[in-house]
Amino acid sequence: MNPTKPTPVHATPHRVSYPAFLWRLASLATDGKLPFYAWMTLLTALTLVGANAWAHQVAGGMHVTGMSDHVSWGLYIANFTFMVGVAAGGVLMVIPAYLYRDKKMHDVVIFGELVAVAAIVMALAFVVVDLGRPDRFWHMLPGIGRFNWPVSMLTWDVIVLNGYLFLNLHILGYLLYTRFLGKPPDPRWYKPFVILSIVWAISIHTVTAFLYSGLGGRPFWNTALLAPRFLASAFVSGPAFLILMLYAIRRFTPFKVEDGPIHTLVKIVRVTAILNVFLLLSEVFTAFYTGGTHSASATYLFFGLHGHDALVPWIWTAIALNVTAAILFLGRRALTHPLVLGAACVMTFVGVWIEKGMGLITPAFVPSTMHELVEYAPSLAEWKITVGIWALGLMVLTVAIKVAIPVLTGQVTYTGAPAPARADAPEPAAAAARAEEAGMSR
Amino acid sequence: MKDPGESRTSEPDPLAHRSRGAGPVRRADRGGRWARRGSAPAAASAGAAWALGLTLAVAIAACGPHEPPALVAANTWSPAAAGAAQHEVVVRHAGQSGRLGLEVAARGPSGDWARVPCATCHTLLAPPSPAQRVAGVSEFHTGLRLRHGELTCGSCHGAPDYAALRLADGRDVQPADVMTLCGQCHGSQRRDWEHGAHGGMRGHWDLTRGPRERQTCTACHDPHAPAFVGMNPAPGPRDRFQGPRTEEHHD
Amino acid sequence: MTDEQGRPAAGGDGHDGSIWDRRVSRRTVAKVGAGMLGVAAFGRALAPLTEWAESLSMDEFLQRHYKELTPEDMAAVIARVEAETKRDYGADVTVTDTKAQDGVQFGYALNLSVCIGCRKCVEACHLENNHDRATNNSYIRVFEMDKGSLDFERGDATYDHPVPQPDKFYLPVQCQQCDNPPCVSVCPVEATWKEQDGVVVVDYDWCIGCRYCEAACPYHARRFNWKRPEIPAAEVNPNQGYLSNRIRPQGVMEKCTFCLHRTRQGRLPACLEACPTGARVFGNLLDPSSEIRWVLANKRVFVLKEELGTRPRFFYFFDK
Repeated sequence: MNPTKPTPVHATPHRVSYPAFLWRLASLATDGKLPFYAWMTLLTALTLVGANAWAHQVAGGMHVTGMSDHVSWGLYIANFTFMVGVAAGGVLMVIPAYLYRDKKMHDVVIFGELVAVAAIVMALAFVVVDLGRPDRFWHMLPGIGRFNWPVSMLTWDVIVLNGYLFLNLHILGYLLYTRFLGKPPDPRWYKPFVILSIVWAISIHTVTAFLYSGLGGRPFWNTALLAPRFLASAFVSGPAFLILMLYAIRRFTPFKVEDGPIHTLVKIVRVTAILNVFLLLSEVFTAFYTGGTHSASATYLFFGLHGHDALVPWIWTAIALNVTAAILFLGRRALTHPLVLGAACVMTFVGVWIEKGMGLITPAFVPSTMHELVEYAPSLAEWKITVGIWALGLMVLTVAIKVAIPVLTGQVTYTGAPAPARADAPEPAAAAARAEEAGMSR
Repeated sequence: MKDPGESRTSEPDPLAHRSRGAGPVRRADRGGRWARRGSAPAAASAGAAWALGLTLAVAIAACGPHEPPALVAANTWSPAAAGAAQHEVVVRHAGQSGRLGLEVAARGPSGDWARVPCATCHTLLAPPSPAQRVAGVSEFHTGLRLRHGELTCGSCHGAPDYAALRLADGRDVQPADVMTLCGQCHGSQRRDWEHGAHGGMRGHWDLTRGPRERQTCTACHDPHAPAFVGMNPAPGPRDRFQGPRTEEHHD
Repeated sequence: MTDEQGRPAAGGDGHDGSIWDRRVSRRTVAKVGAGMLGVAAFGRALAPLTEWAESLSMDEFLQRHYKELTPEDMAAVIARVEAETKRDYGADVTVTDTKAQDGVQFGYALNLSVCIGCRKCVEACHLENNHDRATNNSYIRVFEMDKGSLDFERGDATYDHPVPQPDKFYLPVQCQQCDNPPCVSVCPVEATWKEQDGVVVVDYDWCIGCRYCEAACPYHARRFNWKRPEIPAAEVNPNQGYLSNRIRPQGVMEKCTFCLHRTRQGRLPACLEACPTGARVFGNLLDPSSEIRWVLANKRVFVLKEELGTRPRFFYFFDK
């Protein structure tokens, strides 16, 4: 891969090689073939539509959404909850790779972390667009504003989500950078962080669940089972997305994804998909066997209440998708037929999105704490902003994969060009001629 | 990708991968430095995980119902404050001059409806029986409807001062003190009114800082038909997306 | 060195030299142009934000939390608020910041045998607290309940018929000023807190509008400003409190404050004065001779959702 013998990279200081690394990533991120440009242009357009809708929401007020004083959280928080789950599940591959020393998983662990980064960016974006006064964001910064930690669970969420983002960025950055330099990575700089990221991945979704489960006024959420349910569905939706993404990487990039990691993911999802359904059944039993006003929200969700039944078709679709997907995952063909597996992944991803998104947030507000029935449907502005953030997340993910794969496969490395002041510097003309040839060959 | 000049390590590169046309890939895990050193980095990461978990547990345990700041200890009401000059509580009685009279459909000298003093007729007529019922009145007072339990005219009115009210034991009480009369039967409401739990008020809760205005019973309750008159309520909430309630009920 | 397509380049990696050494290709020009177009489109997309930001003052943006304001800061803030109210609503107002008094703990009681559901308290709150006119917003909701049941699922806050109906009783609900308020616990920026005299307040210039408190409140007591309140200048109540009824900005939470701009000056709250039957009782819980203490001692009082442990300051009772 390196026809010329490179300068020993340990001689080049990081202040030279690191900017070169970043510059290389930036040029990789902005260069590709037509489908890449078309995809990125589409995503940019969608992001801009979302950004514009958000700007109107901030300027004109949140009455452009479908939320009200009765249902005061909606599509944004639903997507936020779901994306935290995907981020947690994205790191699931780390467990077999590092705790169980599954060598084959090592190849694709990094993609899980890429998904985690993109998902966390989306989750943070969904929180920001849900704020009534995003201009007052600085009020939340510890030391500068007033940070109500440890009492407010939202402050825990701020800490763990940002920490998770930086944790994954560090691991990714370190591993890619050392790969770029051609050095083997020093385990002390990534292994502890990788182990920490396992615990942290569980903590982000646990803390997010605690946001809801601590509210005594919302019986639909005030259950000990909420955190386990969140984790179970995170470990379904995360791997499902990862499997689909690995198929896409196999299809669209030179990176060869082996079946081993995919099969390991399927084996994980076989358990967690069933666990997800079981935990849901457990909640359903407790709500409906006991009955009473305590289960009004569950009644609204599953059967409708006093003639209001907007969510009923959604939740039953989600259940059908989740159960069907769980059955498909259990079958032998999940390991042999990519179409079957892909279909199961799509079904369960959509199913969990419904069930842990709108199917979790909205019913807690219907009926309200004073048992008034006001339903909720997202407005066009909310959909635009949501689609915009999804496009932003996909952009982040696409760029991340686009820059990671060439570095991973060793196609892009640092050749350690010395600083111009050194005696053995190549002639500027020769460097320009090489650059021209390199540029023209693209 | 390793530089051949580099010192060799047996550490498996987590990113080493076989791709199309790529170079050789190391797959053997010989244990090596990581296995030999073994526990130090693992202990550090395990310790970090435990610290995180412990912090979470402690903080969440601390998030239980927290006592409000010691409000009572530092914030006791001082009786001396109550000894300070109290403003008055004025009891307004609606619309009356303080004396009863018969309203007739004629304008008086002031331009208002005339009120004929009770004594005009009742000093000439024989005193009505205490059991006199309104239905039996043939002259004047004929428009009066009495819907007040089993009461008669004589329950509250009587000789010699028809312009005042008469208690059950025969003593007179002025209309401005009608609470005393009503309180003979409606003792609990009288008591509640006395303690500010009935009949409303305007002004100050803190009488050391301002006065207060109360009302007599008759301000809200017509003594001849005291049932509180219903009314149309002020408009309800016009919340987003909330329509009128459907009449369906749960079984 | 190869590029991503796996094709080998003739020489070394052209990016390793100084960027100024590179020859610029048509492709690069096209990419930079597209990038600039994207940036311009982004700026255009966010244009409404710049227009909105112009209506915010830098003072408001940098304003500290209420508890950190010195008296001089407070005076400046009040001057700004009064000036902005004049500019935006055309009304001259006076904003006060009366602190909680020692020896006072507010309590409120409501007589359910006497309330007739006329909603005069609702209307008085609407007028006193400078609520948005279009939504007829108010901190109080009156529920028409079936006699014999406290099940709010059978309650109705939207009734529109003469009151009182014979088989119903009426239960107004507003902020309970809990002693263990869930809304205070969950606020990430401490924009809401319980004051010394028991009132739970909101710093409207500190709230970030995340609505976590609205999700946490078990009594549907909190309101969010989904848009800028609209009130005709003639209807603006000019006697305003900084923490209570000054006109709130868009995007922040608000709630009943027991009319602290009145009650901290010893006056009765607006809802109590409007009640035609005298169902409402308010006073100082620490004063043994107060009306509220008499009610608590002599009436069978209860609170809503007691099992949640919120310890409300709002008590309900029946006469019989």
